[in-house]
Amino acid sequence: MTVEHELRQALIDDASGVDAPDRWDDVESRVAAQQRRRKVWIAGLGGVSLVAAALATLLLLPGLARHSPSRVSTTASSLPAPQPSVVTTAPVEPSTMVAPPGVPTTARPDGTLHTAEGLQPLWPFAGIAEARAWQDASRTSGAQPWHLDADLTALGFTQGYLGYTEVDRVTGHAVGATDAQVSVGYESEGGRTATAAMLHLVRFGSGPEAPWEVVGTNDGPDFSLDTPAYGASVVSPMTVGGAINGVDESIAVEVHQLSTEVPIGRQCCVPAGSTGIPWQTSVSFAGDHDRVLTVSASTGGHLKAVERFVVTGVRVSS
Amino acid sequence: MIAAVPVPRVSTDELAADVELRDLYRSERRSLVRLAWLLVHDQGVAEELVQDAFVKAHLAWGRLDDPDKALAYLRSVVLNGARSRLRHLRVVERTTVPQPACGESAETAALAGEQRRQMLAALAALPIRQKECVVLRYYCDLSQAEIAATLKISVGSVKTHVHRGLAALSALLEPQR
Repeated sequence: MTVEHELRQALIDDASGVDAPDRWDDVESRVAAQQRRRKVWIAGLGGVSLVAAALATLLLLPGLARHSPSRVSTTASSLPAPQPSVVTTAPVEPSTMVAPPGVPTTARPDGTLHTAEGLQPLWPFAGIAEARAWQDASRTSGAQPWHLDADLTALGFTQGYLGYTEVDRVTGHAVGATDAQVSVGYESEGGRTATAAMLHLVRFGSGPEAPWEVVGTNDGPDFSLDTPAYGASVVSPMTVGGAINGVDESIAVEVHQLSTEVPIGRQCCVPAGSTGIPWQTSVSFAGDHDRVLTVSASTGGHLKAVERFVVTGVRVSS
Repeated sequence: MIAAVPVPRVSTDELAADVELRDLYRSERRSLVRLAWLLVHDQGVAEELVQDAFVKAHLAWGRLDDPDKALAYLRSVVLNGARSRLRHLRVVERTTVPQPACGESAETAALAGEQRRQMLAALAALPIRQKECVVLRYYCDLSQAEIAATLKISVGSVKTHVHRGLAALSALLEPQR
């Protein structure tokens, strides 16, 4: 008798006595509870942001009169939770993003430094027109005040836009007047917190009432996405790659755009591992309508589905 | 669009999740619990891992690329949970004073073949990844490609883990024969 045969028989015998009672009711009740918690979280997010917006409004009240009339085509309501609202479809104007004076804001592993002019607006605004429309709506109705909170914007990008729902907390942040580095992560073994990525955000516009915009990640030596280069023009299929340290890694690549709820391209999964080993794959995408795309690469599966991720912003070749 | 913040899924997704997942639960929960049992050897934990997997699948239903792959997704979640559990237990084992193990009852020991007990003991000694690959291959009868997709590793890695797992089992069993 071969080892394989013995093994198969032992497994079958061992498992045969295990029964599984029907507990579908328990599944349904837990799903309902999770959905309730989600709603509470979103409402809480809205509530916290409303307070932040109220404080910001009080501080900025004297300056409000200087601003131009509303350009919002569909006025956003003052809902407590963030809701998508259709406004204008203005072209991307990344040059209006503000970087700290004299400090290029995105440092990448290849040493390239991107000035404010080169930053790509990834989320939540596609361009300055949308950001201004939100500002106008915010002044009149207090809509979506979470835009003024870098941490909430970082979490919204991670969970809502990229869909990495298990990356559910801010693990560190450095928020300046015009840019912010926000680390997001999850609960690891033994109640410890692990960081999945460090997001880079900048104020989209000027002044403290300008909303935050995610423009990329600050990649470390453990996981990077170097190809395509940040801000590069791309066509489908595109080569995506970088370097990674780890064991039994499995890298999933997705292509996102703001106007579509689901990724427009996905490649899963690229096996990778060891120390500083390059990884590379080709990903196709279709249905690209936006000028800026977000390319994300994630790896995980040991503790959480996504344990580390990196993103880059690229432009679609016209 | 001002912001692409998470949009609540439409009710059709929830309905589909209810109907299709419930059917899947009724047809596959036993095989999934048994799969989890083979890895964690704890009935309660195995059941909870499968319950957790169905809750996650329900919440993620609208995001599944292909609902036909729901079973593969469930297996993957169960394995992730089992892996996490085993890692936790290893940490606990390292930090607690060993207690006398509860041996099998005389009746169980008599019923279980000696070879089977040796095989299961050897299987328990394998590294987690090798054990997962071996169980998926020889209990679930999954192909190497299916195992690779479930564990999100390459087919080459699956081949390596299965080969090393079988070699380790042979080596562990040899002195006892």
